[in-house]
Amino acid sequence: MTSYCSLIYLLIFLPAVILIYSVAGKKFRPYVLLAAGAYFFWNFSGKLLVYLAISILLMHHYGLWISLIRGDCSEQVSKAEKSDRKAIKARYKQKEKRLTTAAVLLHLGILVLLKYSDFIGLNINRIFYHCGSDMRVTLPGFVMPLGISFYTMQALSYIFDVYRGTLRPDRNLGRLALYMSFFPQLMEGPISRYSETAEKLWSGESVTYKNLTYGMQRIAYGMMKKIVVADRLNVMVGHLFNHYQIYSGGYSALAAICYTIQLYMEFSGTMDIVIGSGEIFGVKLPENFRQPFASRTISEFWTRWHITLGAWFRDYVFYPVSMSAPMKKLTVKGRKKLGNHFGPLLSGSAALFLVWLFNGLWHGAAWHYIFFGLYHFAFILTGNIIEPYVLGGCAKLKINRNSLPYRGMQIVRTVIIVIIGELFFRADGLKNGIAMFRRMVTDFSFDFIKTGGMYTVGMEKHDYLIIAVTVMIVALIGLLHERGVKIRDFAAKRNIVIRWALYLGLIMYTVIFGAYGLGYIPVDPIYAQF
Amino acid sequence: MKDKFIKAAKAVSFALILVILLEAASVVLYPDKSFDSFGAEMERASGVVSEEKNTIDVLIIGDSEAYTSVIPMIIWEKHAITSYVCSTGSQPLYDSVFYMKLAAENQKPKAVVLETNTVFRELDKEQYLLSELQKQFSVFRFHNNWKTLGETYSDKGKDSAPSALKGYIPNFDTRPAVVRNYMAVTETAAEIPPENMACIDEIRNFCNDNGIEFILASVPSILNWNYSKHLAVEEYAEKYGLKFIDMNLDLSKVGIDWTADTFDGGDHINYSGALKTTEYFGSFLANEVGLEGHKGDEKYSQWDKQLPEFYRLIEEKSEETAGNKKKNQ
Repeated sequence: MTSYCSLIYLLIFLPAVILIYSVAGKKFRPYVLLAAGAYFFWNFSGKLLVYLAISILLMHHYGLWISLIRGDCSEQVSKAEKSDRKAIKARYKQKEKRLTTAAVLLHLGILVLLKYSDFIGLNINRIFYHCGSDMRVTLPGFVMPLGISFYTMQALSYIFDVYRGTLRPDRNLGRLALYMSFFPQLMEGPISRYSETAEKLWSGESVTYKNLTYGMQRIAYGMMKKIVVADRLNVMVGHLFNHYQIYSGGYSALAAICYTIQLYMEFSGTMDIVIGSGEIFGVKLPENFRQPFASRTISEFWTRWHITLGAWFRDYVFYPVSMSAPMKKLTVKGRKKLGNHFGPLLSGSAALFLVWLFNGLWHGAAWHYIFFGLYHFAFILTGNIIEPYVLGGCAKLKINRNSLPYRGMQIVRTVIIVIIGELFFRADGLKNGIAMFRRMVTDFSFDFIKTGGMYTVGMEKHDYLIIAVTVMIVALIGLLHERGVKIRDFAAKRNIVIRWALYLGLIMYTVIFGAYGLGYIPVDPIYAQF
Repeated sequence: MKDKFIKAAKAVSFALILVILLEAASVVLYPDKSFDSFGAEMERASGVVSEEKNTIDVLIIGDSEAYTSVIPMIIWEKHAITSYVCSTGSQPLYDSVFYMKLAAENQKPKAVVLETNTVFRELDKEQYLLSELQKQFSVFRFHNNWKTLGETYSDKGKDSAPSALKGYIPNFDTRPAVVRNYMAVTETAAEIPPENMACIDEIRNFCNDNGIEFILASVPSILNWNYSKHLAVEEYAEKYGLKFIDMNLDLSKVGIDWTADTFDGGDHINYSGALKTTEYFGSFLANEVGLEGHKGDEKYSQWDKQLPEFYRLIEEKSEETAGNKKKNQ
C-alpha cells in the first residue's frame, strides 16, 4: 500500500475493512477501525507507531489529570469561604496552565525533534561556516512517522479544547485512540476536531447502502482527479522544475501553472477518497477544499484551500495571540494613535505573522516553505492595509465591486498570486525558486506554444487535451457546488439510466484516460511528506 | 427483504454493465500490428507480433540478461532455428507471462525459455495487482491507445517489417569484472517468492496445455547469479522434469572471459560475450532440445533476407560505440 489511490488500498484493504466492520457486532466495530488504523500506520512506518501511541497516551493522561485538578478545585472551592474562592480558583488555573503547557511542549518537542532537528542543525552549521569556524553539528536524520504533522495538530486541538473547557476530557482511551488513528485521515488529514469525529467513530454505525454508494462515488471522483490529471502531469512538472536552467521563463510559468493544477488535483482528489472512505463508515470528515480558485482574495483563498489547517491556525494561534492581554493593550493604544482601521491592524498583523510563519514551517523544514508562508502573509497584510483606499477609490470611480468584470479581475489576480506562490513551494530550495521566478520576469515568452516545445517536455498534445477536459469537468462541478447544488444528491434524483451513465462514465473515463501503468510514474502523496 | 433484494440486484447489474464496458474498451483499444500501440518501452519486445504467423520456434522471456545475451539471428545463421527475445528491462514475471501469451496469439513456439534472473526479482505488489487486472481486461494495459484511436497503420509512419535484431540489444562497450566468490558452492537454496512461483507455474501450465517445452536458462552474470539461486531453480526443474541450462556453471565451455566479455563489470555481457553465449545456447537447442532447423524452407526465407540487415545494424552500433569512445577521450 503506497497511498489512498493504490489498488491495494482500494481493492483489498478498504473492502476487507468494510467487510469485517459490517460482520462485527456494533460493540466491536470501533475496535475493527482501531486495528485497521494500527495496521495502516504500521504498513507505512513500522515501529514508529510507538510515536502515535505516545501521543495518544499523553492526551489521555492529560485529560485524566486535568479532570483530577478540576475535581480537586471544585472540592476546595465548595469547602472554602466565599472570599477565598477566587484565589483557590486562580491557583488551580495555574496548575492547569502548567500541565497544559507541559502537554503541548511534549507534543511539539517530538514534532520539532523529528521534523525540524536537521533543519536547525543545518542552519547552525551554516552560521559556523560563515563565521569561519570548523565546528559542525551532527545532523540526527530522524525518520518521521506517517502523518506526524497532522496527528500532532489533532492532539493539540484536543488539549487546547479541554483546557478551554469547550470539551470534556475523555476517559475512554479507545475512543481517543480511534480519533487519532482513523485510517483514512492518517496520511494527509483532514485535521479534524475531537467534537467532529470522535463520538461518531466510536458509535460503530452500520454501513448503509446510501453511505456505501455515496462514499464510493466520492472515491471514484477523487481517483479521476488524481490519476487522470495529477499523475499525468507528474513527469512534465518534475522535468521542468529539475531542469529549469535550460528553458526560458515561459516554461517556468508553464511549470508553475501545471504544478498548481497537479497539487490541487492530487490533494483534493486524495481528500475525496479520504472523505468518501469515512462516509462509508458513516463518519462525516470535515471538508478541506471549497472551490479555492473562485477566491477573490488571498485571504479568502485560505478559507477555501486546506480549510482544516487554516481553521486550526485561526482557532489556536490567531485568536489566542490577537486576543491576548498585551495585544489588547496594543489595540487600544493603536486606536488612539492610528484610528479605527490601522489601530486594530497592529495586533491582528502580529498574530497573522505568526500564523503564516507557522503555516510555512508546518509544510516543511526549509526556507522556501517559510518564504511561502510569509509570501501569503505579505499579500494578506497588504490587502488589509489598502482596503479603505480601494473602497474609497471604487466609490469615487463608481466601480461596482460585485460586478462580474470586477470579480473576474479579482479572481484572476488571486490565481496568479497563488501560482507564483506554488512555484516557490515546489522549487527545490528558495534559491531555485527565485531563479525560476527571475526567468519568468526577464525571459518570458510563449515560444513553447509556437515551436511546439511544450510537447517535448514529457506531455503530448493528447495529454494537454485530456487535462483541459478534466479540469473543465472539475470546474463545472465546482461551479455547481458554488451555487449550492449537491452533485451526488442531484444525481441520486435522476432516473437510473442517467444516474448509472454518470457513474459508469466516471469509472470508464478514469480507466481509459488515467495515467497509470508502463511509462507513467504516479505522483507521491504530496501532503503526506509534510 | 424485498428492498434488500432490489438493492442486491442493482449492484449485480451495475457490476455486469461495468464488466461489459471494460470488455468492450479492451477490444477497441487492443493494439493493432504496429509496435507503437504496445507502448514505447515495449516496442522491441512486442515486435514479435509482426513476425510471420507460426514461424518462431523459440520464445525467450526474461529481463535485460536475456536481451543482452541471446542473438536470434546468429542462432538462425548457425542452426536455422528461429527465436525471438521478448524480454524487457527489469521484466517482472507477470510481464513474462504477458509477453509469452502475446506471442502465442500469432505463434506456436516449440519451446519457451525463461531466463531465470527474473525469478528472484521481488514483485511490486501494486503492479502485480494491476497485472492481474490486465489479465482480465486488457484495457488496463492498453488504455493509452486512445491517443492513436482511428489512425491507420500508415498514419503512424511506422515500418511494419519485423526487426532484424529480433529483440536482441547489442552492446560493444567493455568494462571488466572482478571475479570474487562467483558461483561458490553452498548447500542452501535461495527462496523463490510465492508470487513469483505462481507466475512460473502459470508459464509451465500454459506450456503444458499448448504442447510447448518449457526450459529454464541462466546466462552468465557475475553480479546477479550465484549457486544458491542455481540450487533453487534446479530444484524446481527437477520437480517438474524441466530442462535447465545454467551457463554460469559451464563457463569454460561457453568461453566467457570476464575481462573482455562484459560491458558493466559482470552484470551483463557485451556483443562478444553474447556471440559465445548464443553459440552455446544454439547448440543446446539443436542437440539437447532437439529442435530441427528450417534451412531452405521457403516459409522462413524472410530470415535469410534479414541477415545482411542484422549485420548492418550490428556494424552501425559498433561504429557508434567507437565514435563515442573517441569523443570521450
